[in-house]
Amino acid sequence: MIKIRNLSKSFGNKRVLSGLNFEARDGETLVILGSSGTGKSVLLKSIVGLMKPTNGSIMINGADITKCSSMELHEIQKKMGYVFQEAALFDSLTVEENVAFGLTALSDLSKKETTKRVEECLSMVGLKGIEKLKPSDLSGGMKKRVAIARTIAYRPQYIFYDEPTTGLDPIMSDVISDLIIYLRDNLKVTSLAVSHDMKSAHKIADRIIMLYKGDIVFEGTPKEVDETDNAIVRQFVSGSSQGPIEAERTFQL
Amino acid sequence: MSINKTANISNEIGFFAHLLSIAYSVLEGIGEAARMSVETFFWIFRGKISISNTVSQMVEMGWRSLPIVALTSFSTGMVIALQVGTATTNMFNEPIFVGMIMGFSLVLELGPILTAVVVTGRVGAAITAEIGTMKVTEQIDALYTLGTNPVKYLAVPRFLACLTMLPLLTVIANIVGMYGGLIVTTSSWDVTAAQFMRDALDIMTVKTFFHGFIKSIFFSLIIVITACHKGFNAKGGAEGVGKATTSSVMLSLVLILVSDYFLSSLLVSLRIK
Repeated sequence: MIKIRNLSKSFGNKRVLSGLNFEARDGETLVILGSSGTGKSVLLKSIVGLMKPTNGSIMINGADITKCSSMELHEIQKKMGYVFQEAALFDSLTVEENVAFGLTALSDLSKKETTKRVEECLSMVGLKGIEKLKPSDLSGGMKKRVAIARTIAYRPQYIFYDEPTTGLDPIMSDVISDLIIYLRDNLKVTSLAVSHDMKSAHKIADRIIMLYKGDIVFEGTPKEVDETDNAIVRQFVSGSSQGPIEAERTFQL
Repeated sequence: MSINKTANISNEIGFFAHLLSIAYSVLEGIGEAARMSVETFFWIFRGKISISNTVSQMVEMGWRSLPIVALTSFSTGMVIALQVGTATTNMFNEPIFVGMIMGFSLVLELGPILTAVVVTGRVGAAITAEIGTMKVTEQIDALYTLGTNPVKYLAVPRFLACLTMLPLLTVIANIVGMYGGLIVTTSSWDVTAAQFMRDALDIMTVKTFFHGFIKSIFFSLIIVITACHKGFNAKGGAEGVGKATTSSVMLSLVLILVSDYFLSSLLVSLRIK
């Protein structure tokens, strides 16, 4: 279980996260919604230890990662996988080497077992037979799926998705959403996904949190999102430029 | 009048604040580079070295830089021999001291400096561009989330490769440069190869060789630390990587040229000359 308590993050004088409190329960997919620049990615990067929060605690399996030593943090990180917004595959390595990278670093599998696991993971994301290709040979959707294969290869307990469907066509977005559900059901992973894709969020989420100006303004199930009177959530769900969420525009229709 | 005075004071405060911010960012940069260097040594002393990565970096830095280093050194050797031979022939009616002057200028100064400049342009720029691109495309963050320390994975192999390959390239540059000078001297004037080599080697000692060798080790540290540091701190997409690469090459060149005087002075005072 992941427990976030009073989490704040500031860059200089700019406060991005203001004392967040929430939990991600074991085996669930929690989607964090919010417009661009509301601190979703900062929140995710703080949880995996890529950024240090200004204040607050992040409890993962009972250990506060903001206070533990680098060795303890390394042990906790073995249980976490991160799927980056732009996939972040290593350009100089083949797909096979990319997927095997975490396995080699984080597990004691033999070379034969590693090759077998790589094949298994690529097949799970529907990309069997592309082992020898380089990331530059792949489409955006394929890169995302290879990134997911690289993450699930070492069987993490938690998977963090940073805008998993951004930049993909609607069909590929749906494929990725299905894949996230498949991984939750088959690998029993706890997932945190930040997104502003309402369709995908609705499909994959067990619960949804909405961030606005660094604060949580809503927490509930997808059904509760549909039924809420919260004006901020309503505007975000409808995708309207008119409402409490200030949209930057310099023209009038 | 008082408005002008207030404006002057605020201009002065603005100027000093600007100077302070520059000094702060310079010190911050030195601190970060020092931290990265300490971390690199930490992984080396713990024996956490990827042999395959290091060897592939050695091939990239050493073997692939060899043609351009050899060409630069060969041409420089030929030019020095031509100029020294012509000048001494004009003065003394025969080309004297060509081997000696060539030996000293190449082994003490030009060999280490020219090799370091070529390697900065070829290898230093490539290191910053590669690590910088990895930084702005989140590949460095990906390394971290996959349980791999970026300094251990990226900086350590490059550090070891540069530290071993630059001195080796310098030795080769010295030999090739001398050979270039020998060809010009023996073909232009009535000087035999044996005379040329005796001229060069009679006056040089092992310490002369070490003078250039030690300098090339320092230059390799300057190149690889600057290149890795600038790469790890690149930000802002393709433009940021471009700026980091330019800044890495410029800073390395300035540090090499400035430190050369102080290093030479130190080595001379230690009688390594």
